Amino acid sequence: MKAIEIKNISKTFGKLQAVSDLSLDIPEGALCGLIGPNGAGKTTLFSMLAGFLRPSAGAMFVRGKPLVYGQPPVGKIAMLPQDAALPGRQSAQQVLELLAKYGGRSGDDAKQKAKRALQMVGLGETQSVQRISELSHGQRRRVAIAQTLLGENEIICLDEPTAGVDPRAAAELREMVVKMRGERTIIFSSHNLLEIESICTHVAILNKGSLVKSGPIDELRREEKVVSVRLRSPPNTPDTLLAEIRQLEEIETADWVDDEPTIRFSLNNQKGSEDAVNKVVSLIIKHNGVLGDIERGQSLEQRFLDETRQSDG
Amino acid sequence: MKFFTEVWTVAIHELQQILFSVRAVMFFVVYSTMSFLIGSSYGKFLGFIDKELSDAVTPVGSEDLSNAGVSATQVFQELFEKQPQLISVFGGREVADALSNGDLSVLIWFILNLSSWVLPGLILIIGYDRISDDLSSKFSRFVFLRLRRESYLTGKVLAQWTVAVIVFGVVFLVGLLLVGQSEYVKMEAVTSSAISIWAGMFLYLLAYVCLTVLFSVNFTPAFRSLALGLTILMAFGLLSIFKNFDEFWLGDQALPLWMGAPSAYLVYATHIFLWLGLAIMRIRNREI
Repeated sequence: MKAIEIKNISKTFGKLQAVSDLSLDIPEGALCGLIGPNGAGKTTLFSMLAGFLRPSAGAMFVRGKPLVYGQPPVGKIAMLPQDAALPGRQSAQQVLELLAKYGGRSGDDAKQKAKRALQMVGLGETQSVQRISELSHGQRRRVAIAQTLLGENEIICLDEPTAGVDPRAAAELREMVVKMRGERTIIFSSHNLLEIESICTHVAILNKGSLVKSGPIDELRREEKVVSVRLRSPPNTPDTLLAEIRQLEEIETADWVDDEPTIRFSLNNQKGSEDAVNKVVSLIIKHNGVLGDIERGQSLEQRFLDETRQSDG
Repeated sequence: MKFFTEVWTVAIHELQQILFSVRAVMFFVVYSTMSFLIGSSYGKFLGFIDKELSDAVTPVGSEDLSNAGVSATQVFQELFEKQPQLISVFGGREVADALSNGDLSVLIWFILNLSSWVLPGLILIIGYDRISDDLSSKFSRFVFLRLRRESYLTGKVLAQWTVAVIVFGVVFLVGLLLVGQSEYVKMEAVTSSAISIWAGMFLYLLAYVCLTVLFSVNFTPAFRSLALGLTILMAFGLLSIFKNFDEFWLGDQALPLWMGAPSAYLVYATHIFLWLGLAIMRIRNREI
């Protein structure tokens, strides 16, 4: 079942088209990484999901039910907004208790929920009763994350949760998110692509307000048309070898990787990829190169760069 | 959560926040000090009426009013009969009647007059940032994930209104006690007019709380809400000099409202409806 269904959503701010006719489905239980360069529309998309911004066009559904602007998505969506501040004069415990009450919890229940959420994000007793203004940036970020754990929401949206957080805290946070994987649907945006690659089951790449690519990470990798061949010993005539590889009809592009004895080439299409690789290997041997590892696919980072460059035109 | 439960939750929290704030204490101190300074001048004012105004209304000259058996109400009756242009200076026909009948003491009249100038500003100072701050810091994002926006706004209105009613109530009660010590005033009549003043004051305070909330929901950051709010209040005050405007603007309807004039009730109810409606519309549609 689809946890989130986004249909042809658009958002304009004056003349700026922040999100343009974007459609995206996220299955239940997925941990979906939302990636894109600055200004790609990630935060705008999150804000529309949470009801902070009114979409200019399109519709959004959570488990088939439409999200209506102005109605709080209680029980549906928990959200860590990127730049929202918590009141500095109150303690983390007080703020979370208040938010739990706003979410419909009664006094004692709200207290317990707040306490548990703070424990989950690793904030101790002392920090919980300290004024928020006295906490470090990372600790404040943890409090903000803790508020997403107050209710039994079906979907948790985390907009750059590890931004500005120290590496240890970031690792703990990732661990916490991984623990929730499968139980709840999580959308996680980050500029750290290794982070996304290491924890997410799905990925959606945004660029200039449009969806460039989406799907399970494994599938995205499988459909890679890029092959890297590492050589243990370089050929006698590297330029000639490269020219001959480029002449093969199955090859779209081919290049030496900077400072490495590696040729990376992309195929016109995935059919017959084995034949193409064999032809390249034969050419390498013909030019006295000593073959090393052959890797199919590319890192998420490389894929992201390729996709966003392509959509940039 | 149901609407009323949400409103209640917001209002209780808001009330705790405001009541224990420096500004609320300041509100109380400023308002009560000003009121009681006037209270302490009350005796002197009665002396002034006794000595100066009695020349205008009685042939007894410098004779003491109480010795002559003339009450303060008689003074006002004759004053308004002989100089009807003073009726508007004192706040209109309803007020003049109340003063003449002894339903309204001069002290209370002073406190109410003062209130009509001071309370709108104090209410604005208490509430200008209560929504504006949440919006500009984007704390509202955490809140609106959980609450209906209209419940949040209504809860804020309710809490600010309650604080204003409490502060006014304390000052007014002490004022009544001071009045009770005066020999010139019929306490029974004052007590009955107090009910009318109370009822009017509920509407009066609510109107200005709604206006403050309208500023707070529209203007961020908070200081802009305060600056614009004060400017607009002053502008309205100045505009009320003009004839036609004073029939519709709250400030000029305050004393008649407290005396129970139906037209004043209508003016206030319309303003409350308008401002609360605009504030709710704004918060519902505002992107945060």
